[in-house]
Amino acid sequence: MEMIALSEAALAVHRKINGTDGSYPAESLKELFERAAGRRPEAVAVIHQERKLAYRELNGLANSLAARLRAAGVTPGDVVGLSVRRSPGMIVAMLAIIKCGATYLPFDRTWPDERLNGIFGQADCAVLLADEATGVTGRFENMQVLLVDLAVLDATAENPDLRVRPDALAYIVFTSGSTGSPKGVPIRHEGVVRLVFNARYVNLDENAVIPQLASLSFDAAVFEIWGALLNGGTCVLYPADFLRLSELRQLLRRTGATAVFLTTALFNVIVDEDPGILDGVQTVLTGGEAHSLRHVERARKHYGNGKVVSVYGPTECSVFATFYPVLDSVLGESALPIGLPIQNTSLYIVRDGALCAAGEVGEVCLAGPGLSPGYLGMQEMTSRKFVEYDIDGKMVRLYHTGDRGYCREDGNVVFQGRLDDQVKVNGFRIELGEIAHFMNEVPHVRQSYVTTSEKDSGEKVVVAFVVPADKACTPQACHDHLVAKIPGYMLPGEIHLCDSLPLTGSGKVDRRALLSQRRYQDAPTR
Amino acid sequence: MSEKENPMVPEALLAWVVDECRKLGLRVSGGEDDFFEAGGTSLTAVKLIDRAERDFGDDSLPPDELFTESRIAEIVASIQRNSKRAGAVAD
Repeated sequence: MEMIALSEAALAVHRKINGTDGSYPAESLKELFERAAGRRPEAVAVIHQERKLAYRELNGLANSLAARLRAAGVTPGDVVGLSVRRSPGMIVAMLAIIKCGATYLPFDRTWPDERLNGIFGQADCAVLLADEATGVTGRFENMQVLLVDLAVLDATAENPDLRVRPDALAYIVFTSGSTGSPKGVPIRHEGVVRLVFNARYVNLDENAVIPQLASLSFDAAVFEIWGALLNGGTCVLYPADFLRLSELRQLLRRTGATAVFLTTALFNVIVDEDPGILDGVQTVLTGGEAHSLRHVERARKHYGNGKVVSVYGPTECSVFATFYPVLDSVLGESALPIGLPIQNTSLYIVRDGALCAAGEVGEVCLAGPGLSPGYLGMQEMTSRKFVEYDIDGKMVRLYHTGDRGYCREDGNVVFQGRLDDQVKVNGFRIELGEIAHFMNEVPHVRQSYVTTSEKDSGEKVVVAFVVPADKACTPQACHDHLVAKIPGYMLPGEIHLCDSLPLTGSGKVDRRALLSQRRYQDAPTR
Repeated sequence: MSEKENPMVPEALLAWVVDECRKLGLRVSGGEDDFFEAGGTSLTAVKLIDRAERDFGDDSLPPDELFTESRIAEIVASIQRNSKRAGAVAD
């Protein structure tokens, strides 16, 4: 095992930030949810439009669906694909999978067939749970599709007689991978439990009312759903696919929401357009990409100190890993810190095999029960990113995030960009190499370079530069090829043709020179 | 928007949509331009819908319509169809 070199100064700052161990129950989501349901059966678990489901009813429906899943052959350890519209049925389906001791794999049916088939293969998933046959039944070979229909379920069904271990896998999320195949990140029950018990970054108890806004394929949904349901609180399902500020305002007011998670991009929109929407909420969690100090400061002035909490965390460490409550003016800072580790999570800044002292920039590494056991079926990648080290005489398994950062003197960590070409666009994590991989497959493309830039409106956009091999190469042809390979959120917003890729003095592609050649007439449709 | 110009007159509404799109950083000049081709994204859509609802009432620009009929002239037509506050808008 590799030993991490230490200095007194480095140890001091890491000791300061890492004393975060607190208690959390050594039980699975199944037992903890069933406990919450047993404690306050009449409390409201889920609100969707006019409908309110009490814990008793939700638990019964989930038990009933779990019995059907088990009858269909689902056994503990199986992976079940999940594509259900945001509705009570979605929560029932998630719970039912968990209650079988199985692992849920959320997928978006708008993703290309090839990608979904690859994902199901990687995850060894043979059963899909959906709310309607459209776009799922018959689309995938050898796949058993079960439909969720609450009307045929029995809301008085008993808990399945089955125990699930806290180290079993609760869910799998797929993220972009630079080699052209997405990476499957499995997360254990205890990773989620450690996230939502004795939370330092937000108040979570039976009074918690949390809106569910995120898509299930984005792991913020894990916080929104389990944060409410394991604590006996209420999860409020946003009633539409597309968010409107007027509808969000009504929903927050009507349900008395206590905490809400907003992607950085949506947070900025609300601060710009109508910050009053969030006046009644106690805690506004926001994250997904680097924050704009201007928006954070405007929000602080409007809401007061301590209400806005920035959260940071890669999927590999079960949703959130650090938090930074905005307690003071951030003007004059160079960036909003990503802050301190949340409960039961440790953070180490490491460079060249040595722990960094305050002020020294290194790679942000994470540890603790939130860590994924590793990428599905990718041993080599797993052994590079999840590594056991000897730190100060203790064995610690670290996840190398690829994010650069440093600890301030007060311990708060400041993000300093990436070590690789992973980017965040509208909160989505994208490996630019994955887009380039598929772009280079296009028959008429000789060479390509993919980067990000800003639109006139200030939003980030993926921009591709393509050197054609022949006349048949058009931005539209490239776009049409990519559509069949990658999800919509990864598609370049602009594809530009160019004669060659200019290089810098050091032989790298000259990004700046390319961006200065952008011609808007080349931009494809969406 | 002043009380004199009735925003429900298509020309005034067209001017309103073009103006708001430009404020959002889109390269839009008239009714034939497409909101998304001019650089609109789902986030700019959130903003445009919010501004339309503020000036013309709730549900005056339904997201489903904006996403399927996204030419500026179609956005104008959508607001005209859906605004319930016709005439009384500029109070």
